[in-house]
Amino acid sequence: MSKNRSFIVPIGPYHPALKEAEYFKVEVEGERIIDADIKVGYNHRGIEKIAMNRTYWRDIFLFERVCGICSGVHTNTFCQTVEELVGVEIPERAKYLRTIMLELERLHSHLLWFGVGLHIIGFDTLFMHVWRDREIVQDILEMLTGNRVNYGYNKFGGVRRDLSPALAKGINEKLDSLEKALGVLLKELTSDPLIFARVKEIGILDKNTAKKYCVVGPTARASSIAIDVRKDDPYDAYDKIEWSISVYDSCDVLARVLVRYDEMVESVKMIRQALKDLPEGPISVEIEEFPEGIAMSRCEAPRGELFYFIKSNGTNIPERVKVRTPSYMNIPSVKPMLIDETLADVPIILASVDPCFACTDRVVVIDNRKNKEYVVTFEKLEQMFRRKKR
Amino acid sequence: MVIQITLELLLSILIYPGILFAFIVGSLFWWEFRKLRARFQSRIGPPWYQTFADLIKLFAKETIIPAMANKFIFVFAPIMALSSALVVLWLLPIPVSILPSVSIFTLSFYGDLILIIYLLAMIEAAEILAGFSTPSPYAAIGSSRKVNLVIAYELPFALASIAVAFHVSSLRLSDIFTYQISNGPFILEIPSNSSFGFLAPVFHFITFAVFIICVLPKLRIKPFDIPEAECEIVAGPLTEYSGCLLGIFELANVFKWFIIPALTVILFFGGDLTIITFLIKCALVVFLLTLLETINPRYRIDQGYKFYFKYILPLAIIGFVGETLFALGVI
Repeated sequence: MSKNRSFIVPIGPYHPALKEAEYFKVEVEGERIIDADIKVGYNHRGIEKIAMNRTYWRDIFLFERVCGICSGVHTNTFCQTVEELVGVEIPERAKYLRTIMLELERLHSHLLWFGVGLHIIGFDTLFMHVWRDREIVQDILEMLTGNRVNYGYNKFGGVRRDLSPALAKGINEKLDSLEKALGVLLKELTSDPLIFARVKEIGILDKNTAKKYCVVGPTARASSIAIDVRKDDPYDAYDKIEWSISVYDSCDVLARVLVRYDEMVESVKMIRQALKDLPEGPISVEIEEFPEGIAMSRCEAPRGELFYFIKSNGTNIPERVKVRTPSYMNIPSVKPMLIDETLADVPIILASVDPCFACTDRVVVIDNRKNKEYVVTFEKLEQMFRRKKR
Repeated sequence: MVIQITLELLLSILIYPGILFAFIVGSLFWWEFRKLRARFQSRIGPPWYQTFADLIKLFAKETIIPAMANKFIFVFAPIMALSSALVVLWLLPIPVSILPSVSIFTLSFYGDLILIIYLLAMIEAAEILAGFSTPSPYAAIGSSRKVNLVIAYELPFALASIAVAFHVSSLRLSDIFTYQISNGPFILEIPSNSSFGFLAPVFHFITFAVFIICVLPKLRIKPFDIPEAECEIVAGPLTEYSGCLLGIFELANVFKWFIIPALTVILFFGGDLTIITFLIKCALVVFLLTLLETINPRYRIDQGYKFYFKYILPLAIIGFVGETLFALGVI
């Protein structure tokens, strides 16, 4: 027997704590973690490649499906990038409607995250209650856009559906009950010492490390880095609405919980204000053709900064679309959080960055023996597959 | 005559109030737990036959024994768990008749309370063995957590159970049972020969609280379902089990769902002459357990361990000393 008493616990590729296929190799000594290795790439779908073979209009529906949770913000950023490429300004009313949709999406994404997090620390009752309350947001989204998950709301130059005053009134009423549910959630979160015991002072990511790992979104704001695309580079109607960023400096999982809770409260306020200030006018402008050039744009997705880059060659098919999703930046930061924690805390720390694997995966093969790294092409993959079959 | 007695004994062991009865009632209690939990969480919950359906499915499935597992222990552990559960079942004094009368089914002998404490720990030991017999890291970690937890809660559990026995001054469960028939439920009992008798229910309540908190890990109820925390270590010690062998573990669990409410009622809420009031009391105990499950998240293993040693063990000692003082007539 060697002196090394550690052994490896595989978290994934299929594991109850992970909602998608991903592999975290956690090396433990007893219950204490001494090393972690993160392997992504189990769920590669080649969306960027597909996008380069479709027209811009069909790409909207493709990018809606990059992620099941933040489907709205992906189309929003894509449309924003194309609008920047074409050089049109969308109408004010469309800006406000997009803002409402994005904030609703943030609400439903954060509520979903609260549910997952509570399930992971074993509080199934509150998990079920949170997801029950999330239905209110889904209902509002259905009232606004006509769909619950993939909204199909954005188009180049504006939005596809107008909001009638009667519906706006209905949304306001629903927001009342949502606010009540959020109040109950806060009461239950803060009054339970067991929840605090599970999330306080674990998964520390201090400010310098966070900067080094370039984390974005709520993960960064919980490590006292005040970045938010909505403030730093306002898009849609965010510069016309009054709201504040919530930043916490305790850098632990609890801070990430509280940041997200504060954002939900802010979101409700923002939706209310946007509904009140909703200007009259058209909801979209027409786009004639797509000029040659490059454009890039970013939005604040529920998980952080979402970045799109488009290179156009003048045809109606983009030459290159690059998507950089927030989880792509956040997942590596899990490693410094994990070291020296216990195994029981792994799932909640993983969940605390709200990882969304579907939008993260890239196929990069790293060959340790030859010490080189290459990206697999489709033909190569096919060849490898055929060879194996034979 | 001998044949008749033997037949009656066999019938009561196998059918009523033995295996079959306990199986059905245990399944229904488990279902009650799941259904109530679902309703508390605003879900719909399973139908009443869910436990039976689960078991039938498990026994119909293929059993896979991992190649790297220790085959003997892997197969032996579930059998050990089930047989321990069955022996406890036969030792419990249960009122048999539907009409009020003093007829108890029991095979009890002096000192069976201690045997029951041991056998209940044996079920846990079987699960620990099961976890260590497989090469799975989840099972190994689950088992090591279970070892820690067993160390933490078995002592207060034994103290709380034996405190009751001290009060009645008998380690025989049927004595405890008949004592409560004449003196009323233990938890409300006020000793008549003591000048501080009004203090007795406080100690009774402390003992009861300790007992209830110590049975939570036995039934995998939150906040102490740490060894089976599904988000962290899949199914804990039973990760590699499948088919029949898992079914046997689940069967032992079904019996546990009868044994533990019944034991709670026998020790603390006794005094039943009919099976119906007995079962109603058991159902209320299950309701209490469900309530504890729904209002709590899960502890981490170190927190759970600390909780038992920091709060529950001192409480158990206080309760034990109090009950002993009353039993000896010191105060």
